[in-house]
Formats: sequence, C-alpha cells, structure tokens
Amino acid sequence: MNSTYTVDHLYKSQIPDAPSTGFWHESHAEQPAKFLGLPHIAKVVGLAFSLAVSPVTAITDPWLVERRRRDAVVTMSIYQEVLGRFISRAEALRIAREILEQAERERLVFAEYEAARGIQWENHP
Amino acid sequence: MIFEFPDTSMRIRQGDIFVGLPRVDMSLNNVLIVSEAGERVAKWAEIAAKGDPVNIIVPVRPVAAIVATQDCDALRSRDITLLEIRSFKDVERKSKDTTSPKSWKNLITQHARINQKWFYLPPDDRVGFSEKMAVDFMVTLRVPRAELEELRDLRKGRLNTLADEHFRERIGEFFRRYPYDEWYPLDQEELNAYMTEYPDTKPFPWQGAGVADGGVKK
Repeated sequence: MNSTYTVDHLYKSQIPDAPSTGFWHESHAEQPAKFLGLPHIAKVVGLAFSLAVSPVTAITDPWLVERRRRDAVVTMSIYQEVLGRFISRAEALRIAREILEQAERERLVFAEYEAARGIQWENHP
Repeated sequence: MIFEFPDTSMRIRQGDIFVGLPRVDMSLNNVLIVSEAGERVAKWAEIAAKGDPVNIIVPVRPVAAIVATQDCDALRSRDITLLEIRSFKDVERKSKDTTSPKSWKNLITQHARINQKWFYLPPDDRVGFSEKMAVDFMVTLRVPRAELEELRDLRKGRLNTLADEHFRERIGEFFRRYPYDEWYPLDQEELNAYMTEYPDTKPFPWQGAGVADGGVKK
C-alpha cells in the first residue's frame, strides 16, 4: 500500500453518507421579507449612527495613523530602488575621512566666531 | 594641581578623565551605508523616511573626555555621557595668542562672570596634559557604561572635590542657558553703540527713536 492510496482511503472513509443532525432545508424565498422589515431597518440604522458618533472614532488614533504610515513606507520600499548610490569601498573611506576633518575644521571656525564676540579680555588691563 | 588619581577598582563618577575614547562624527548629507551589496552613500532624510535600521560607516577618533553623567546614573544607567577635552587654544580661540600670565589669568577666571562654553583644565603630566586644556561643553560622547567600566585603565585622573563641584555647577549652568536677545534692555545710546558692533541687530519696539520708558512715544 503506497501513501497515496492510504490518504485517499482515509479521506473517503471520513465522509459520512448523511449529516448526523439529519437533512434540513432553508427557504431563501422568505429571507427578503425578514431583511426589509421596518424594525430591522431601524435597528441597523441606529447601530450605524451610534458607531458613527462614538467617541472611539471622534479623534484620530495616532498609533493607527503611524502604523498605516509605516505600512505604506514598507510597501513602497518593495518597489523603490536601493537607497543612495553605490560607491567603492575606497571612496566610502575617503568620504568618512573628509567628514571627520570637516567636523573638526568647523568646530574651529565656530570657536573663532565665538571668540570674536563678547568681551575681549586682551583689551581689558 | 586639581586632579586626583583613583585606583582602577573605583567606580566611574562625574569628573573622571579618560584618554582615548571614541568620538564619532557623522554627516547627515553623506551617510555611508554598508551592506552585502556594497557601499552606498545616501542622505539621512532618505533613511529616516524609510524608517528601517541601516549599517553605516562612521569616522571615529580617540579623544580625551570627561564624564558628565552624574554619579547615581554613572552607577546604573546603560550609557555614560562624556564631554570632549581639547587644547584650550582650540576651544577658546581668544587664547590663541595669549602668552602673559596676566592675560591667562583674565581668560581663565572668566567663569565667575560669564557663562562659558568650556571648563578649564590645567596642564598635568600625570593626566597626560602637557598644555592648558578645556572641556568643550558642545561636544558630547556616549559609550556603554558596562564596557567603559572594563576600560578603567584608560581613566587617567579625576577632578578633585573643589574642581568637581565647580564642574558640576558649570555643566548645569551651561545646559540651563536660554536664548535671548541680549540688547533688549539697552537704551538708545547703548543700543547705538551695540549696533556699531552688530549692525544686523533689530531694535525692540521700546527701543525706537523717540520712545521713552514703557514703550510710549513722546
């Protein structure tokens, strides 16, 4: 006995000839009358109105908005190209070195600017 | 001078001076992303818009730094914040040509009168300072506390009690500063003198010509 036969045999054996609760019949012709009943419409309208004015929907949910925004970002990223432009390892290292040197240079420039302001103690004997 | 030299077994506290900690400098215009696909350069705004973490290359230089984190946090917090220490002449450019002791005295004792952006540290060979140094309040470093504890041999000294109290108050004063237009209380003549030095100054309504006390024109 191969596995295919085994599965087929088991599957067939689980289908009952008749439901255990017996056969039953539902009349679809009677349903429209039930849904169009005035009390039912009033109930549905009332429920919809109460949901619409519910305090839960009165304010924007920041967590939901944030989640939707992030979901949108993630969805977009699938279709976007990879971030930035490719560079060589050597260029990356050169840029890194320049970032360091520029930061140090700019701190000196800032210090010069600050020194030019305020009291010049050299001029105060 | 104003330093103490704690044993390596002593816990880290505010005013501890380390030599050789990493100062990271990064650019928001040139972020060097590293990935399996290779290196890329992007703007930080693009990375921020995506919201995903990335791995980047950053330049790091070993520098001297002093612990700014207060003592209780230095015992328990995840991170320790330090302030970079550099040559005094680089931090306070007014001193670049200073030579006479009298001029140095004027510069160093400004603290009592002016809320400066630095804290003075005198030379001391035992700490490794061969010249006058300054803590630059504008440049911060952040390192993991537990791993800094393991590097206590890089701690070269600590401010003594008097200097530590002064340092603590100076940090507090520096970060308590608020921006305001310093010319706002000057009268007309003082404002004119001020504007000769800072011509872009915009007078307040009560400082216009013909305006007397209380902002009422006469």
